[in-house]
Amino acid sequence: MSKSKIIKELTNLLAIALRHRIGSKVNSKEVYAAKYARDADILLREAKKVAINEHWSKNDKIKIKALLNKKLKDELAIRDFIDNKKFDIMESEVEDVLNGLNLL
Amino acid sequence: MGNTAKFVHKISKGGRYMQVYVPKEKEQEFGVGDLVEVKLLEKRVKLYYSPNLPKLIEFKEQMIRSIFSILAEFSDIQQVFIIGSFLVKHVDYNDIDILVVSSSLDKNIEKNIYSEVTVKYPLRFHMLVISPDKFNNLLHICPVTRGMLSNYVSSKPFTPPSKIEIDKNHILFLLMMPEDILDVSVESRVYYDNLRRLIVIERFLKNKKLNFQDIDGEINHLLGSSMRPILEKNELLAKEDVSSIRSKIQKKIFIIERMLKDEQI
Repeated sequence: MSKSKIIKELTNLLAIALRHRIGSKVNSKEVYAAKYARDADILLREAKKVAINEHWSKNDKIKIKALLNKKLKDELAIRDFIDNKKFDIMESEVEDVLNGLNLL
Repeated sequence: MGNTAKFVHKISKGGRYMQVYVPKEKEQEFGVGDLVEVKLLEKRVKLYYSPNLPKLIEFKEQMIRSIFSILAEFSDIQQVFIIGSFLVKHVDYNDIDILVVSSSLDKNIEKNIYSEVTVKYPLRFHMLVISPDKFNNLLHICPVTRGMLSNYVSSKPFTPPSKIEIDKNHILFLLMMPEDILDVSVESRVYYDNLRRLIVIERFLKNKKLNFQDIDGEINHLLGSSMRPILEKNELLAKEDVSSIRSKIQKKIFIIERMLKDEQI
């Protein structure tokens, strides 16, 4: 698979995983966050499988971050059942997850 | 005689009062008219079972009693539930799920509870701590919470509220993962858990019972006896099996979304 296709797959997975993680954090009724956060963990695990086998250049990392930000914003925007505070923590969640994957 | 005279006895039930009998052989030390102090040494831990849950084996009961006893030391904890596969499976249960209803949600409480319990039982526990208000709210609106509490052993008597409320946003949130795994490839166990979640949501919306036995029956019916163990044990799935399971998930999502659109809901 070409690198651009891998980046596409990786950012898709990360955007979905982060949508779950952010949703469980900001929805006041999702007090069962620990349980729903498991959904995010499952998807992050799949993203790690994609990320781990590649060597990422500085340029790749910049591309991944930009693409992830855009995809996540779209993911969150169409789900109006997730509280609007979602956009406030979006940036820090992206930083956090990319840092964990050594992609910053 | 000094003030060291003592004996240990259980409290028993009398006609009008609870009572502690003085053993006959102690009558020289404890006589009529003597002044004594009664001190609680160990609280008797009673287990409250959900209606359909068969009695657990002695080892499991003993362990739950011991966990309840440890958690009774935390004054903020109002009620403790043991839930999940530990109650219904003999050997191959996953984590031991403990749901704690606590008036304090201090970040350390979960950590403290966890360390106290694992010191005595070095096993894999999954701990969830929630406030009484939110717990009560979830019992009305959350199919997953109600489903999980269809089988429990509790530290206090418990009856879930009979009235449910449909919180559309909450249901939509719960549907996110089943929807996502229609496109994203995941381990086979994840398909199983999400199909189960959809069955629970559908039954909740239809105001049907969420007991383990009925849900289990439905999952057997949907997956069949050959597919179910593969998913449950998280074994590798053939491509055509993934398609077949996704189609079952999609059908369930469709039914639920149609119900949510229904004016009656």
